[in-house]
Amino acid sequence: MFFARSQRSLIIFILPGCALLTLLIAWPVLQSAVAALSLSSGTEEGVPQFAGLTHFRTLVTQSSFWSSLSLATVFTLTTTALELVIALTVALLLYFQRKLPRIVEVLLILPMFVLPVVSGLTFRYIYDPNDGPLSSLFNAFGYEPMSPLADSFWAFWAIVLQDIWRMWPFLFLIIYAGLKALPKSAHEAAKMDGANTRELIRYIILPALRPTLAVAMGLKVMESLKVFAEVYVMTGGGPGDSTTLLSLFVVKQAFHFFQVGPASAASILLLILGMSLAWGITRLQNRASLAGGN
Amino acid sequence: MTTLAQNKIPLFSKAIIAILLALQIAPVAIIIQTAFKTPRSLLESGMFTWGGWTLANFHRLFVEQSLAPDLLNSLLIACGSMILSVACGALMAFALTRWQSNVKKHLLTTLLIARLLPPVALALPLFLVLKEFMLHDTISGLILAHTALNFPLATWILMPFMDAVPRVLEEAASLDGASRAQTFSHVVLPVTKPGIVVAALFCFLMSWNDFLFSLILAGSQVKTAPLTLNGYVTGFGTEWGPLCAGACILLLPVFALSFKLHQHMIASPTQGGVKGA
Amino acid sequence: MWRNWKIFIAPIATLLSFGCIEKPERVLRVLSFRDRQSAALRIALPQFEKQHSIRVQFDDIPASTVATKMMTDLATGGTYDVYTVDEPFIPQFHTSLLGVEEWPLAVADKNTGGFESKALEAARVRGSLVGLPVNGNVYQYIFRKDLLNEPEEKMNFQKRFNRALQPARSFLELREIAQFFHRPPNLYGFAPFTKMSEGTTVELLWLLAGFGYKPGSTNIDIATISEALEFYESLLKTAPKSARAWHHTERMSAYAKGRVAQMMTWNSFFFDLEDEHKSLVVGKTGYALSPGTQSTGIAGTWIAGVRKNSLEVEAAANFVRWWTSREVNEALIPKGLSTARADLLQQSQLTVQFPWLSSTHLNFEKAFLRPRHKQYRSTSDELSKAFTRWIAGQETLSETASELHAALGRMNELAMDGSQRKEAH
Repeated sequence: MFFARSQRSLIIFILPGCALLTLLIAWPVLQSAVAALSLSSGTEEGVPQFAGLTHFRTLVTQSSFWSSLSLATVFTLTTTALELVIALTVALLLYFQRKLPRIVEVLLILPMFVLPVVSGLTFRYIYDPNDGPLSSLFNAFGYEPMSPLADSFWAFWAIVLQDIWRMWPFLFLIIYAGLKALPKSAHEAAKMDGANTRELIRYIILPALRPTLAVAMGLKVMESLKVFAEVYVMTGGGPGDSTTLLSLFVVKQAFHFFQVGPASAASILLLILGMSLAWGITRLQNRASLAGGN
Repeated sequence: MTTLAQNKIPLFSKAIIAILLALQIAPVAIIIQTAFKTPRSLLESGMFTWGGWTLANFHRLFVEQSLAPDLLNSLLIACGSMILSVACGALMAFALTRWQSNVKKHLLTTLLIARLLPPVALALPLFLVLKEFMLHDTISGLILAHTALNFPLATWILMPFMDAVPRVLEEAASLDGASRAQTFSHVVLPVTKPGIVVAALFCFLMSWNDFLFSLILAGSQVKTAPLTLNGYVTGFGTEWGPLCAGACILLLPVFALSFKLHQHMIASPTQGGVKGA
Repeated sequence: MWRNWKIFIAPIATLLSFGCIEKPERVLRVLSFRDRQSAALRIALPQFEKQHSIRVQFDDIPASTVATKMMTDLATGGTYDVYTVDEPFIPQFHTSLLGVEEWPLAVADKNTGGFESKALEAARVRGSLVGLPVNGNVYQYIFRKDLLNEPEEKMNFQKRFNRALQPARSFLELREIAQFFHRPPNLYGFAPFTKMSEGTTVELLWLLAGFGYKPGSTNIDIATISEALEFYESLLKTAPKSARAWHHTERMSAYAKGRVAQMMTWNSFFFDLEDEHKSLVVGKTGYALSPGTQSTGIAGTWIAGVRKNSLEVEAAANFVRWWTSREVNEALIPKGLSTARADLLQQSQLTVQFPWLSSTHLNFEKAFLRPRHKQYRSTSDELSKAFTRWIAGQETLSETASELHAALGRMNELAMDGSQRKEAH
């Protein structure tokens, strides 16, 4: 009886969400898919002609597409991994520290609130070999300041650093909230059995935290794939295309070259890439919740 | 052995946190400092020196550029979107974790799509939809558009929290005669408060900082603060002063909000709720 | 659960309050970029409104977002009557704009004689004007005249290079002056443009034009390209090490701080260079014709056009005429406008007050335009990519030269598919 009633009332719960989804998401995504498959460009009028996979073929034959794709993947994986480590460490540290003042915690997450454009510009200034603080650091140690943004290799790591600075609080908040929501009963039991902090973390906390970690990683992956403004403002995608991530590639196609077809196709491909990454994470999450649910 | 280890950790962790704090704050300090400097002093001595203080940048923002109405718009849109997203998200997350059906998988996938699509690709079709309902260039239109992006975020964040609510609590409530809705609002919501707070903060932030949607879906009658500020970044160079001043102003509400919400994030309501193993 | 209904109040109330309260007055909607002059123009709007009894809704947004906004606006039916279009996008949007020759007869003065011919050429697609230039930019040469006029410097230069120190008239002289003033860490000879963007293409085209390249007529061979790159390398040596990732922000900042002796830049920066709040080199800049025997300046412009299916065609056309008129331009120049009007650029009173006007005019005469074609941006992208990769040391000179050669050939074809710009003659 509980079962039957619960299913019916649940439908009401998801109704508002579904309405939003259909109108504001499903429909635009469909439109995007149509654009990816039709010939018309963004500024011409007329009925779009079906072009099949032409745009996808155009994309796939461009070497810059593949480099954007691989850059985006490396960027996403690197930033997510590094940020996860930092966020987890700090969350655990703060979890065991009882008396950290509120202001400190809020200040730690402050970078997350900064406008991406402003963040990108600030880091561009920081990296400036003439006036930037980084150059002062070099000078202090007696080295000639280098220009990270002018070097194809270092430019990539420069943008990775910016992303880490800004986004680890994002992961931190989710993980920290998840940590706080963990029931203390298991911890107490383990402590009474004589476990030290390290064992506590490894055998009790981390497994219980797995669904939260999965969500955090999933969200971060999705955000990373969409990163645009900060990178564009720091490097313009260069030097060459060493920092042209897939999102920059898409925007360039759409708004610089005004090729809406390939842009939509690239978006769809980005979607597929992200979905495969996220699907893997959902599997992890499902397994974790099945294992640790109760 | 345990006591010794626990005594060492606080100092070590304090040091790490202190260094991290310094690194995190440093760029923000640069931004704040630049907001108060004259263009000439930036030219003469860069961003790190003392002197050249002025309030002219703020004056420029509020008097010349009239940032205040834009800020108000941003605030309304962000609040509206935050409330709507979290409400729908909480409901959706709750349902998804309690439902046993294949529809769930499809819904999850659709939610994923929303998060993954670059806003650029979403913007134009969304504009068409909004135009149909005469909602383009309105605050409500932007609220809906932002919710389209934020509500999946909220759902995703809230799912593990909803999942972690012990079924025992729900069953106890229903045995006491509560309906599903009452169980949700009186039992589930308080327990998932940390998650709700984080989701609300994120939704507010995404909405508050949004630039692309405000540009494409509005821009005439309804302007938001990030849109205005972006004007200071031109292909011809950046006007650091007003830009940093604007960035500082934009930081304030989010800072205040997170400060206020902080205590809700700390609460652990499961303590004492469940007795025994 | 229905307690949640309260959350719907806010959006519904807002929706109702923004409801369709249409005012019955006539409105002219203008989409424009935002800069100093647009702010000044806004103040002058009431004058136009009164004269033509129509309200003007002047939406000025960041310049880099105008094309995006225009694209989305047009794709959904078009709500604006007047659009400003940056030169690169004119071919893209010209089908939506009403040709100037088709503007209502009531807009009597069809005289387009006051404008710089190159600016007008930019506004032409297939021979017909699609709008009028609201500003004019040309890539030109500036130098620190206080340094070049310094007697001791003149003496030393004469001794070292065996000729007089004067503004560079050839690329060789450019390099000599750059080498002479290469005095790290406080003074450098030249400020390059090296950050991945359209600006790099402009710098590259300027460089190659000096070696004989002209889009649409001559392509140059790989050997000449290599020579050009080597020349640029020698210029780079007179610039700071950091200059390998320089964009307008960094270059103009360096020049404004007094650290650079010469550079090629756009005239839209000059107003700030002579502003004592924004520059430490006020009054110290000399403006001259770009060095080189070929045309080496590159011209750019923003035009204002009337939407084809606008309901206020006459008012829109009047607005554009008014905006680009001599009177309005003259009033806006002191506010920082880089005008495209040749008559004003040569007007004696103004040129005394704003010394860069006459050299802008000279440079305009010698300038050439980038080929405006739908494929332009992607070709330009290829050029800047190859160039920046070489500057970053990721490619060898010969690799870059051949890549550039291929891309330039493509750009040539775009230009010769001159159907985009004017009728073949």
